[in-house]
Amino acid sequence: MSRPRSRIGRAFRRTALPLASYYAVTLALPVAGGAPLSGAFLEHALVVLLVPPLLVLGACAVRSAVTP
Amino acid sequence: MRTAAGVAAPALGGGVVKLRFVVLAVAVLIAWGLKRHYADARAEDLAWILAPTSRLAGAMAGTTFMPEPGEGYLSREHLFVIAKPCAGVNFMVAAFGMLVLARLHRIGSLTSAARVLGASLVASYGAAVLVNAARIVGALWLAAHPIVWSAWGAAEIHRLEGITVYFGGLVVLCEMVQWLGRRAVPVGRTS
Repeated sequence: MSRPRSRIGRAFRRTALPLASYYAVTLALPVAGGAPLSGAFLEHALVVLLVPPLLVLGACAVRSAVTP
Repeated sequence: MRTAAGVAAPALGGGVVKLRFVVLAVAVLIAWGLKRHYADARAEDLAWILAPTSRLAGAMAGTTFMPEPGEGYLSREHLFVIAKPCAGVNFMVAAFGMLVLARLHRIGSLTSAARVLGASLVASYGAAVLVNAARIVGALWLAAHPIVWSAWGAAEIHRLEGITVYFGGLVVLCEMVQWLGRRAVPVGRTS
């Protein structure tokens, strides 16, 4: 069980900088700039928060399937 | 002192640390300036990024985008507009910040600081044009195949495609920079 976990951990370490940059521009800057925290923005923020980590997990799953 | 890669790391003088803080401050100013320009700009003011993006997307998709005053660039064939929100400036800002942070440890002199800032700006611009053009080509394909995605709305699909392509573009760009960094001269031997 430790191997997939370490693979996921490694993937998140490798993508930490792109992830942080993406979150900074799509979420932190608009909030810092005074974007209204409306329901639409919060829904958008939730999607923006969840999709990139899910993509990383998906890529890990594909890689595990290809190279067991 | 040796790094994990076994490369001799230079002792960090106070001057180098200060220089890196200055570079970070300049990078923040550039990013803020880009965001300000983007917020106030009309579509015509963003021709510096919209025009090459529309030309590249048109070449990739086999269509022509023509300037549409006040709107952006329009493909009459696909009834598709590359408007101001699709300019890719936010991607460029994210890529620029990421590249500066990824190369910050390489800065040891004014020359290398200018090189990191300049190269990051140019690379983030090129990446924004390329990644955004790819995103637009994907959006054109999705618009032409709505039946495939009938379970979700077009807006949701467009948003998911945007997040996937932009985040994927940042990851690929970061990997390329790391790979180039490993091929380049070790940290201790930079100018």
